[in-house]
Amino acid sequence: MTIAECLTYNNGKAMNAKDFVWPTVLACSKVLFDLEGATTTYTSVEGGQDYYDGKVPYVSGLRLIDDYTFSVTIAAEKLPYYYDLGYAAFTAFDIAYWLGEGYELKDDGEGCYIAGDFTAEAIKAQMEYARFNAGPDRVSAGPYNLVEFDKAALQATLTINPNYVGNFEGQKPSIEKIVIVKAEDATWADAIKTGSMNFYDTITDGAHINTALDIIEEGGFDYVQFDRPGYGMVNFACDFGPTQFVNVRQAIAKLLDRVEFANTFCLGWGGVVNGPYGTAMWQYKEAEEWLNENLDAYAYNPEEAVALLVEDGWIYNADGSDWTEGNIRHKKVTAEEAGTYAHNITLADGTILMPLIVEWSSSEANPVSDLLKVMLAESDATKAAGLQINQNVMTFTELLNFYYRDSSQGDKYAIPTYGMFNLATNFSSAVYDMSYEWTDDPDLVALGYNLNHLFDDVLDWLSMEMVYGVSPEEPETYLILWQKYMQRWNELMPQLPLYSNVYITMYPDWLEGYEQDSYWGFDKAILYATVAE
Amino acid sequence: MANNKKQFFLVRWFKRMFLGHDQEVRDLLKEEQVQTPFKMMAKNFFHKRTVQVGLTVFILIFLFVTVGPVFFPLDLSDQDSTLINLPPGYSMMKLPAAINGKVADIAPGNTYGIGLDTDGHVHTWGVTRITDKIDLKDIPEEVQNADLVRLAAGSDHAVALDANGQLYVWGNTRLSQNKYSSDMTKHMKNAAKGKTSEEWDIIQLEASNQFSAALSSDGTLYLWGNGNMADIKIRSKYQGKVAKVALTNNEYICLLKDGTVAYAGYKDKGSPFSNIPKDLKKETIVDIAATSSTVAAVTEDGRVYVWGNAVKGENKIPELASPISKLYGGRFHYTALLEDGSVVSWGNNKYHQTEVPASLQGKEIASLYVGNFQNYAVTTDGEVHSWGLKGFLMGTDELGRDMLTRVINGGRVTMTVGAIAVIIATIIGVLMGGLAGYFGGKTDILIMRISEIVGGLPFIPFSMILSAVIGSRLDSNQKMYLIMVVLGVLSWVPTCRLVRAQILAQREMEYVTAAKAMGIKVMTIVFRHILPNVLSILLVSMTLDFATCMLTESTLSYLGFGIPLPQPTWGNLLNGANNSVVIQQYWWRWVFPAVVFGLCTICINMIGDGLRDAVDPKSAER
Amino acid sequence: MGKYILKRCGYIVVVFLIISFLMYSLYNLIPNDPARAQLEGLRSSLKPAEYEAMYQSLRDQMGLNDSLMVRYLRWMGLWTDTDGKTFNGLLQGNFGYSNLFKRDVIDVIVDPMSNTIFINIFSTILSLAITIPLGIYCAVHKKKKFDSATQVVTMLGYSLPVYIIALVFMFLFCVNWRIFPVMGIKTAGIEYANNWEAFTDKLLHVTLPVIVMTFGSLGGMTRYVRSAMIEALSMDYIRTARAKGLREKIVIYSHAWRNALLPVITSILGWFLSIFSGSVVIENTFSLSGMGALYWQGLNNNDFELVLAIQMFYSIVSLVGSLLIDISYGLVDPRVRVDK
Repeated sequence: MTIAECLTYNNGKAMNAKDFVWPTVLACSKVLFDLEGATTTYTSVEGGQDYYDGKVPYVSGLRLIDDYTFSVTIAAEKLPYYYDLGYAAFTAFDIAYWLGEGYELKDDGEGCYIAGDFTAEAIKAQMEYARFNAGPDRVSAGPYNLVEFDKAALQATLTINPNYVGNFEGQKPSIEKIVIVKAEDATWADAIKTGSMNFYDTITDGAHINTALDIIEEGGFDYVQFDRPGYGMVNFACDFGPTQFVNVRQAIAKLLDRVEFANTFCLGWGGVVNGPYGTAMWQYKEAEEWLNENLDAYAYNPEEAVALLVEDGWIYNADGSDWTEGNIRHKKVTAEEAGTYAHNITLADGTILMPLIVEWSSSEANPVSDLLKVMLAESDATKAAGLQINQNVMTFTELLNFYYRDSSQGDKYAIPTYGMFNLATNFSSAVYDMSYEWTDDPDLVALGYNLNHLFDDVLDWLSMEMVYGVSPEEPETYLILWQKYMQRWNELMPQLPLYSNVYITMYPDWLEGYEQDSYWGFDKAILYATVAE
Repeated sequence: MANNKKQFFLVRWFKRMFLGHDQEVRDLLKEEQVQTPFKMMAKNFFHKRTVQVGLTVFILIFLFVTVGPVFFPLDLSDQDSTLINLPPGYSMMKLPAAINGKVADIAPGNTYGIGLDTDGHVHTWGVTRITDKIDLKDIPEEVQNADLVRLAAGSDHAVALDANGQLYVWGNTRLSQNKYSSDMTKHMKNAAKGKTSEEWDIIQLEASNQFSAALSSDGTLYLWGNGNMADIKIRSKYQGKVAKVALTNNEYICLLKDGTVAYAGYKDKGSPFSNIPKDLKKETIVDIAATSSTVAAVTEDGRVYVWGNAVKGENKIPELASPISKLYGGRFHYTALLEDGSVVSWGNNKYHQTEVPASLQGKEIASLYVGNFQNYAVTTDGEVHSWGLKGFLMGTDELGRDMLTRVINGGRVTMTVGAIAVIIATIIGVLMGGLAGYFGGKTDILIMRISEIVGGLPFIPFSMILSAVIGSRLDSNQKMYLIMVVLGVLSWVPTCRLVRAQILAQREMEYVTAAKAMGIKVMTIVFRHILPNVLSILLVSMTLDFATCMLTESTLSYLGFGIPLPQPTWGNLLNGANNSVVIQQYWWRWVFPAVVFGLCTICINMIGDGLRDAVDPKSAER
Repeated sequence: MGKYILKRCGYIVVVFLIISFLMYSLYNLIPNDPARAQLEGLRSSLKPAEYEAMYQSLRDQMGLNDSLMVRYLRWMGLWTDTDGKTFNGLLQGNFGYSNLFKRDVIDVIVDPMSNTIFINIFSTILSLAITIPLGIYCAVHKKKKFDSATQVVTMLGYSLPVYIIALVFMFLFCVNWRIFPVMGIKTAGIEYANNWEAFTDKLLHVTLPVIVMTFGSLGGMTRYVRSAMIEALSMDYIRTARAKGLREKIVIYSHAWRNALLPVITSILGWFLSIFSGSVVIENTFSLSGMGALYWQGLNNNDFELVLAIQMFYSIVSLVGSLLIDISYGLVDPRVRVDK
């Protein structure tokens, strides 16, 4: 790989190949791990694993060729890879700014390594400083410089970087100064009406979009509209409690009127999805009809939900007698299935009964949680089906701790406690890589992969094969695997997908050439925008 | 007299307090016209105008929230996407005078109606405002001038067809509600030039949730609108064979020319309507209709089949006196015109939409229009009878729930929280203050330090940590108790100080010295002799604390530690209006709770003030 | 008097220690294991036994295995640090390190504190300037229409949640009349030519929050002044003064108001002490960075060293404040003997 020779940092310092390579060496090293950063880069760069394990002091897959040329070799088992161009993504960072003085990337002929006191303790302080520093001494290479960041007020000021030579198309920004502020839900509309803000990137809520369009109609603003590259969903813990049974997950899906849910929540600015995709994805656009025909939409149907529960053996009362109306359903389970679930009942004869109570972890002040509570947890159909869903409101951090089963934050998080989490996801780039998402490797699971704890060989194989079994030249093969993946996923329901919405971004009408879409965000689009005369 | 001694001291105490002295004492004082201090206070209290007003209003509010829930029961699963953010009023079926008696066509929308009169004018009524800028009442000039033949009303847009084959859409057009297909534009252009064709001879026009449908006499179905939610495509094998179309909330079903029913959309497995009953295949169908989540077909001999998600009783068809001739669907109900001319309605009856008025009996019905929760029947002599949902007294909120029900039920919770918290705080405060004040010395120092510590514990982090540690395991009821207890336990300090100060003052009074001299036990002196004298002042502080506790509940909701939704409280109702858009556009969502809440606290304060004046006779003279 | 103050100071120390201990243990109830967090990255690379050993030694090193009491005392600066020699706690001026801001707590607090004080000083002055004349006027003209109207209006500010008042005022002043900006403490991205410009810009931004705060506090203070004044006006010496033929103005302002001032002054003092604490609601609504918003941010992000430090500061202010109030009571009114 050869880089252009004209590149400089914002402080005018020239870049060379070393600036691009050292971050990858860091990413391959254990030092990053000790700094609480998680990455799997070392598994994909040749020699990365050895370097990571400390067997050799260099990364053999990374080579400096001359001042402006370097090479990267990808580990053989990671090829073919459908998104293999992604391996060639390198970003420049100033080693002196990030690690401090006295560090240098070197290549003695066997591979690259970082010379100097390269240990976590030595670099930690400088790294933290570099990360949170904002001001004229911040060294960066992007189109804008971060000159001020007020964390208490959540306000950042960016000014144009005069030393920026342009993006891959040679595009340079022309907006001099950008101030990024956090919009308060309660007052953003007034702030825009009165000119305190004139740009709102990615308005997500249907009601907010209607308000924004009202303001736009008054004049002074324009907007772009794009599909969300993601979706909102309910996540199930598939390894414990009632939600470990696929029938229960399907029954919950059938007990929620997702169409009405999306009508209320999106107000037309979005639709229902039946799998882990967003309506912005090219795969969806290609396969829409196939998905309609082959995915089960789990249309609202309390009767079928009950049938699914009965079929799965949820037919007992708490005392072991046959289920009667008005009670919570129970199922006879093995000790292994019973697990750590808190509500199990052990009868006198030793049979374990699991009640159909789903503990739901929901974040606070979230309209999706509020609506789910009304439409699912409190609904008559849910109660009549003998299902009880307990809402447990907590902060988003707390929810994530439970979701990740993050014992580092406290032992209680390591124990599976909740069966349901409401979350949303966005695919930040066009790369749809679900590999390792369904892995059964306990190490990877501990690292935060397979958060649904669903161990299904077919799904795992499909998710891996989809990207590692297909070369970039075979989009048709990829799409077939993608469809199969969707179908399998849809059958197993590790998540209940709720909606994929339409976003808008509103901007002042004196801004010309601003074009944003699902994958071309504000940071990229703003470079092309100019101020109208 | 012997009897009296056996009475529990509290009973006697209350008797003394409210009825005057014991008989024995009264006998002693018979000569003098003595008024007990409490009688005096009561007189002072009840004779003040502000107190009278305050007390009356407070009692009314109290009854409103205690008796109210019986008549307006709370349903926590209540929600309706078609009734979101409706202003207060009962105008939904109020036809303007100009159209009365000369109705040519009615298109019932979700919360509004559009009518065409016999002179060709278009009228709207009901809640027509969709957003701040979009109002269906603003009928475009070209529509008013056109010679309209058909009308349809959707959730937020209206469609009209004129005699020249031109379509007009107004209302919300932000989600491509007016984006015709290229075919349609072409046909419309041709029609404008005067070229008529079977392909564009529109015989049916329908609109639903942000999408619309037009059917031509050759069986071609045109669908357009917002495709995010709605199914706006038709499979080619059905195109050109459609005889009638019925729209559900997001999908549609077709009656084909061969007398069968077909699901012609693209959602396949995803659609509950694709599952057409097997029995239906043998029948010849003459009419179809749809509610928001079910569809129905009428057979040749007037029987009806309903399928889809019939969870609101849409499939509970009553015994019919005669066969059905025409069938119409609302949101959750069907209304049918029978062959004998009578009207029958079934399905969900939450808004009385299936209660066909008796006045309709014996009248000959010319036409029937049904939409959402509204029904209009036009008789042959031009009278319009309507039944169903008229509107909401206090409007609806962001999930389409009745604000009146929520204000009533919210008040119950808020007042309970306030009252119990005050009672807890008063009990602790009186005990601590009483002990500190009477004993003084070390007890006093100790208790005052404790009160300083408790007073120094900040309420918000305290409740936040409590919610973090145990809160997430609580449901809304338990959380309510938690808030009451925390509020009570942390707010007794001012009461304690007040009682202590009062007792310090009373301690030096002669009557206490007298009691001491008579050898009465200390405890008895404090609680039987001193406390009643402090009670009046205590009542004042209790009323004022009550108002404060109610306010704290609303702040807690703001901070996210209040009683969780969907359980309404005045606090979280107001918190739901914590948004400039709501404040400016949906005033009823904060004005009503704020008015009731404000009235309530003002009344409590007025009563408190009145009490204070009554207790302190000096102030009454001023 | 000196003895009394000394005694009270002694109490303050004791009460402060107890409050701080309570708060410290309360925050410790929240599950949080910094040792585990620090080791998390190494977990997969170490053998379980190694990991456990490292974890335990780290816990020792961080002092997590010590009892709650020891940890508290260490935090307070009354117990030696983990090295066993030095003291490094609150009493030594170490207010802790903010995890959220990655800076020392003391540095984090400076800016928000100055904003909060800036806002509160204006709001306090404004409300006193309104409530005192209003209270006096209402007392003199009590039970007239104006008095009743004032009672209701001020009550309104008192009985509505602040965020509703803030949004209604925002609609009127910002959206309708375009007088004030909606959010922030300064115009976004502005570069000031001079200090005066910076000051006026800041002033413009805080005016509406100040008005809202003042409106919310009118109710309490007006009622207080009014009742104190009514009390004073009912005294015999007023009757005497009037009988002497003094002008009504002199009677009111010279005789009655001076005496009414006594009870009022203590509450004014208490009010001035509250300028350090910001209002979460107002600061959030107007996107101001003040103490209330900071405290809230810290609480929500489990940044307990920050929250505890702020909390301790408030505790001291309130304890010292109540002492000052008691003393001032004695100073202002010679009849009151506080040391009894």
